[in-house]
Amino acid sequence: MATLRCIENPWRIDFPQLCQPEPIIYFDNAATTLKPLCVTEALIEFYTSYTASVHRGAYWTAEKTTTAYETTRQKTAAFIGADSDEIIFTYNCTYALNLLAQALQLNKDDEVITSILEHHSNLLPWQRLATTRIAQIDAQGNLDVNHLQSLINPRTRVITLTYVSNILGIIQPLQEVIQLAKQHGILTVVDAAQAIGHVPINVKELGCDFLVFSAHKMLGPSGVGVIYANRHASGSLKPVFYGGGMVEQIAATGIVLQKMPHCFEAGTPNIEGIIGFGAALDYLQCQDRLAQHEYTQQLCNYLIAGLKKLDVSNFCFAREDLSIPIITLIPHKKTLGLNHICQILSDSYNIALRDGYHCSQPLFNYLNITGCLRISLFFYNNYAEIDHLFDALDHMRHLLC
Amino acid sequence: MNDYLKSIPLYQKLYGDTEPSTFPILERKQLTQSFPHGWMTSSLQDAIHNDLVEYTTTSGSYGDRLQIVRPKNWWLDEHARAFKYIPGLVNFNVKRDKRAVLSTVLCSNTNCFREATQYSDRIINHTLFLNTTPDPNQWSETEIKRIVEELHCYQPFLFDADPVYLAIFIRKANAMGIDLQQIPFRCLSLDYEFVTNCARRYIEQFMHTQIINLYGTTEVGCLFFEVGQQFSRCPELSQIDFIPAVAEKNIYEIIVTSFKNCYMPFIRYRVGDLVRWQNNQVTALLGRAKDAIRINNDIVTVGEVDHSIKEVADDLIHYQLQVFNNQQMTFCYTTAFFAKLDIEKESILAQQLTKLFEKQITISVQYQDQIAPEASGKFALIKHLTETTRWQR
Repeated sequence: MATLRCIENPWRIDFPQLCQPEPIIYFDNAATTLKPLCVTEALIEFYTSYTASVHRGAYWTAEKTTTAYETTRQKTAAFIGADSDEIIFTYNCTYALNLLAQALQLNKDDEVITSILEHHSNLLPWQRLATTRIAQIDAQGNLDVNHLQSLINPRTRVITLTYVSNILGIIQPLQEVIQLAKQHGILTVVDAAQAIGHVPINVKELGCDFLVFSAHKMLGPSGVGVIYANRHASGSLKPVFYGGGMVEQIAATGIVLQKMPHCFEAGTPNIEGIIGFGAALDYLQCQDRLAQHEYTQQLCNYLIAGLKKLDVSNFCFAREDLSIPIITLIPHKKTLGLNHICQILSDSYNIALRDGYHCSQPLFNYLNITGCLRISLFFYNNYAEIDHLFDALDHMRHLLC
Repeated sequence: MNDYLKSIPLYQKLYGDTEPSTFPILERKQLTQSFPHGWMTSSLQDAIHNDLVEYTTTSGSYGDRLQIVRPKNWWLDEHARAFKYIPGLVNFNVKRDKRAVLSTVLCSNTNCFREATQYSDRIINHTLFLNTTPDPNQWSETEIKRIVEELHCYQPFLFDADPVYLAIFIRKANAMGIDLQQIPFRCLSLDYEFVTNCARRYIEQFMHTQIINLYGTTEVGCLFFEVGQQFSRCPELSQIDFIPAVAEKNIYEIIVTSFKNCYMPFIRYRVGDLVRWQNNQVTALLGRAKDAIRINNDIVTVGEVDHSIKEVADDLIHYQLQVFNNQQMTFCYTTAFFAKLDIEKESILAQQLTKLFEKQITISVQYQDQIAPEASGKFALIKHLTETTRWQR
């Protein structure tokens, strides 16, 4: 259909999966990102040269491991404008939100405000422990701040919101909400799982108390989550998991906990994952991120324009200017299941798209739709891949509309 | 028909103006990347626009998953075509008589979603899909009770079951003291997977009815049935060629030409299964070609492995021969009584298998409480392991 654009993507070469013969066209970046070679190499080096545990041994490989691990903490802090003792490593974003919800020692008399946009991970952990109030969105898919404000009452302890929904891709007006929360003395939690790979974040400027994300959505390995806990707000947290590495001293009279962040990292952490994450952060810091951002936006605009021209599907929501490259679609014709469409795209055209509720059922209930197709881009995608998707959808036209 | 075949973009692309009767063998690989554009004729377009089609996929257990578009309620028509040749099912009316299916969730999934766990939601076209659990080893007592109750409630004419699923079901129901004789159905067919001698024998102990072994595939429908060790064809709208795989052992590959699905007619399609073909008739099903063990210039098929242990272990209900680099093998088995066989029987098993492979291979025998299904929900009777998969359980 469309002519292949001969625009070189300088970043593709860094990703071994994209250098394979006939690599899958990967448009499921909101689920997880591909890994650059430097991340794989960091993992291999750890496994083959200096495997050891952290914070324990006095031998050189243990010291090297500890240094690499703690350096990643510093890099993570620098990446979001925090201090390194404000960074807690967990195992993923869901784990981070669960840990936060439990560490805040909420009970059913406490109220937590969240929104209709949330991933289940930023709803269920709070719902289990406290009473949740759900803020609505406006017709454009932006958080309805007025509605949120109307939910605040003296029992409100936490406002926890996604920075960017994994369905709509719209960057939410969080600074306004955070200011509002501060006026009422309410703690704020930001779920930055989708934002972290696309939106420059400075937690001090944002002003939130807590922010969570995972490494695998920003080129790092799976199994690594991050909690930013503002030094002042972290005093309201109590350790949830007890065991090795989080205690300074055990005496007959009681225990003395390690300082932040170690008191929240009981047990052996995902050392190699965190070291690999350090390599991902190094990689990102060396890139022209503005150029990557502009390129991805152009790619996304090209995708939207082509999809409109093809006219085989409706967009779930109009794209706002302040959005990350996530596009959600519903085919005109409903007879072929979304899962089946993804299977055909995979089997016949070697394209990876996602279908379903994307762990955001409240939003789908609100929109009164039963799932959608999701295309999510990253800077290593290119025009040729999008043209291939257009060709595939054009081939499937009779099935889709 | 020739003009119609030539109008199919896939055949046009593959064979140009070649006469369909001389088409070379059609491989699955040629089909998997051609959907839907390879089949998009004007008649298919019309059918799609008029909502006269349904979509499904093969389970992927025979090879790459194959996408399929076919006339709506195709299986009803296919059963009507096939059953009229099968004693015991000749009078089965697909539009009136009830069928209950105990098979993989994935298989049921193409008809009713796994999420549809309500009894009434799982009845589609006079067929009750019983299973809602991906691995039958995980069926709880509640699940077993539910399946029994639903069978009692539905009272199917035909109980159509995957032999491994049914054997596991019987084993669990038996352990719970459920009287399976009371389950009301008139006819039992075993379908969806290779029927081993041990599973069949075990099922026969508890289901005192004639057993029909159905052989077919999602893409070409029913091809053969076996009653009382006699194989017969379900011949309508299909033709089978047998090409030699190991002629001296009478092992042949099945090549199918099928016009049962008017939107996706298959011409000389390699189904991927082996049979024993003697005196112009099929005398045994031998399983998937890709599962057969290749040693030197010989192959040992699933059917031959099954035959070799036929007389050995009455108490086996299921097994898996794990093959590592065609040099080491582990024969894993489960029993009806949830315990290992005595040493003597295990030793006979090992001897029989060693004899089959002419002592070229080291074989160990290992009891397992349960054998896990593959991702498709079906069970591998022979599982080829690599260095990576060898240690995965």
